[in-house]
Amino acid sequence: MKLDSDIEKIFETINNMNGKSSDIVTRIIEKNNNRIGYIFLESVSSDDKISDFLNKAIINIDKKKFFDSFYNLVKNSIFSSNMKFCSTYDDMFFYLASGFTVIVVDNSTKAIVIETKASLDRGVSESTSETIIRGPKDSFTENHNINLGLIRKRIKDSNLWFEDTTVGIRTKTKVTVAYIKDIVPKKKVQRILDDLKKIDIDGILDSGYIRELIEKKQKSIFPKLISTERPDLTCSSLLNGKIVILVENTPFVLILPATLSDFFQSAEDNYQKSFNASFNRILRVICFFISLLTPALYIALMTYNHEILPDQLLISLAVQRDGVPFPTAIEVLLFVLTFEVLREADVHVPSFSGGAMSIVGALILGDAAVAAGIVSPIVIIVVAATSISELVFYDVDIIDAIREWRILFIISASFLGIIGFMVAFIIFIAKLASLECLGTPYLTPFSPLNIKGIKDSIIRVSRKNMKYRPSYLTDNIKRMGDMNEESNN
Amino acid sequence: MKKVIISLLIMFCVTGCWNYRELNEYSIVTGIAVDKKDNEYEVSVLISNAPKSSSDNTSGESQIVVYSGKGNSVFEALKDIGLISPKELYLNSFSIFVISEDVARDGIDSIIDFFLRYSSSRNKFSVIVSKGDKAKDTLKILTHLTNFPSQGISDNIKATSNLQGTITTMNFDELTSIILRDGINPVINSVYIVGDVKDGSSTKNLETSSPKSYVKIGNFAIFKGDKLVDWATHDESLGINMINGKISEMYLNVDYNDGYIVIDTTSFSSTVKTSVKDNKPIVDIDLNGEARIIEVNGDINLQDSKVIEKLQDKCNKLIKSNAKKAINLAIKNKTDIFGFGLNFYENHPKFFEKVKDEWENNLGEIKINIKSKLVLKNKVSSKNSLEVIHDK
Repeated sequence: MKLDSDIEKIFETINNMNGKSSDIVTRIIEKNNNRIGYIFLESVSSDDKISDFLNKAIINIDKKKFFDSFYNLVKNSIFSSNMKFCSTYDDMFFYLASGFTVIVVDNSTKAIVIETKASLDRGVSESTSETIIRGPKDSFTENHNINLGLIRKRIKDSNLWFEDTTVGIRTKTKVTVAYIKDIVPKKKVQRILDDLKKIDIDGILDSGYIRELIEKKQKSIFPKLISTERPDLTCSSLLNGKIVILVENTPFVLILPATLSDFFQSAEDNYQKSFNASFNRILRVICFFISLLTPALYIALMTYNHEILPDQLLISLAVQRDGVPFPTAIEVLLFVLTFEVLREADVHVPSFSGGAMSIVGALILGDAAVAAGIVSPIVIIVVAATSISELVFYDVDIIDAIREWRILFIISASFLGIIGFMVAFIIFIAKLASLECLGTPYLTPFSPLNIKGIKDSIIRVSRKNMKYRPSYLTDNIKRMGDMNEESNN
Repeated sequence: MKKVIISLLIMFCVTGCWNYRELNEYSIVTGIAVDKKDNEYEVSVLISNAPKSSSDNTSGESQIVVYSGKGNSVFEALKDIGLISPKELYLNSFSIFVISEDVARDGIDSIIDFFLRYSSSRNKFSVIVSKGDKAKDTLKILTHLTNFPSQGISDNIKATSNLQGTITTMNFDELTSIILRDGINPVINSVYIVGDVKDGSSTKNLETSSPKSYVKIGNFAIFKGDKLVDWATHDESLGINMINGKISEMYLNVDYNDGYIVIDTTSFSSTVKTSVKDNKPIVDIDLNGEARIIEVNGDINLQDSKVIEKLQDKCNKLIKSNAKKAINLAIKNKTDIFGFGLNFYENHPKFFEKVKDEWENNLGEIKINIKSKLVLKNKVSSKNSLEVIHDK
């Protein structure tokens, strides 16, 4: 709807559009028979910036070309702010909601919008979900510009491009696709932008929405995008040739394409010595399998394939299980679920009740259950090993994926023993191998095998040996010059 | 997707937890003993997963119980035990199989047959003969250092077979393959009980620091076919192991002048070569090895190379005499425990075919040459004994 040329009418329309919401502020300033009206939302703008200036400015304006001269005046006087035109009511409301102040004059169907955004964000703070010991501590915030800035200040290359789109019919959320132009193939970026444009939804409140909507082609519990709040990890991914999606109002950005081995890595690995980083990564792989397979393996051995166990262990296990009323599978499932309940409660409980919860969890559920003969001690050990292993991953999605597959493994092992376990494992590998994201298979660099890619997957070789970017991500693979000449001199 | 789900459901339903058995529904047998009683077999099983007390099963500790059953066959006797034991017997992981002397003298073919056929038996258990005592008593003697008696005995055999020289590990697979073949007969470790069985089987035995009863590993039981025929002495056992090349480490006590030295072999090997000359069998046994002196007692000057040479000669003589003793034992009992016959069968099959039937009766007619080349490596321990140094 086009703007009217009358201030009162504009005010009325805006008020009616919004059901006369209480945070709409409309004022008319009248001096020397010149009238200027301005509108802003007091909930998202700070008004003191503009009203003072308008009071003074209005005196010197040429009456004949009122709008143009007023525009010039504003343009030349206010430097610090973002300034635009708008000519429809829909646009106007979008700017109002984004924290702009709208200035309207009589006899003009255009309005000037000036950014007077109130700061509704917290500052850059330390990451809470992905803590590390050594390395940069800052994390993304809910402010889109700060997030872009945190990337821009790390990569000062003109080839770092940000492409914006707006997603969400009602929320009109700004979504930025960031990539380094000469590393990332244009096709991939275009595919993401196309996917984003296809999204037809009323609102985007977090990057999780975007992830779900562009991941829809292949159903999988395993995450195919990395979701992180660490700018340093984001930038190292950009340098590797990955694409980053930043969504307004959320500190979590999406990095794609992701492979399984990305989830075995932590941002910290890049700041440690390569040997230590490799050790940690291998540890995470071991933890991955422990966490995924231990309970199922335990059930298979306890209920079907006893002959695998060494004699001593066999007797010890048999004695411990004596008197437990439930079948092993039920016993394990019961405790796996108990731990999941504990974890879920722990996420949401305020920190002051954490102490009470850990007492309930550790003492009552663990110790008392054994003493009461409901569960054998070895099951507590199995579930504890399983649970503690899954916590080495920083990504919540991979933890959830492990959890769901673990239950599948438990079920198949409890029906068919070690055979069921193997069947489930084959299905598991087949499923993983069938996944792909932006043309990158999920098990890269292991399947298809990419020897150079393995250098930075479950191990990290020293930087001197990692002169190239992963070839499955980009064609522009040269990362590092030859340093040998310098060191010889 | 629906098809996948349906086929998975069918898979689970059709198989229906095949072979599902909770571990605590078993009585885990860790040792089996066979005795003879009133012309019937008396089979005893050592069950090791009885909880220590009914209220406290959390520590994983257990106590043992020995059940016995009688029957005309091993299986019948095991079924007889089934009437006593509240849980099904788990026969997949027992570690020792004790045969009493009288059963062994009558032949063990009939009792090992069951275990050869029993599908899930692991066949890695050691077979031993109890000398003098009832086989089931050896399972009852509680030991200090291990959780249950069978483990004590099998661990003991494993540990000492490397160190003593008179013991060898003989598991069920090896035993049956030896019994089934011509030209070789088995030797089996023996055990005997020192002290009273009643004392040894009560927990009081564990409460004192010097146990009144214990099970000790003895010398070899010599078999002819599947029947026990004789017991070997210490020297003979050592000789048997030397010739069979079953040991690398052993000790020898060598007299010299008024004193003695003890040597410990660090590597020891034997090669047995067979040949036929003028239709007569010849066996050459080469014993090679290195040894170090670990104990010296008496007036022996180790820094003199001539003395060392003399000592070396003495050692070789002792080794030869032990080997001779072992061979004489075999000749006496007409049983080829060294597998010379097997060696002839493999290398000179035509010759062996002719002499096969009378082979073991004519063991004494084989020309056996024994060569022993033990080298004393005494670089580390060439110091004279304290006595010699003192006299100076």
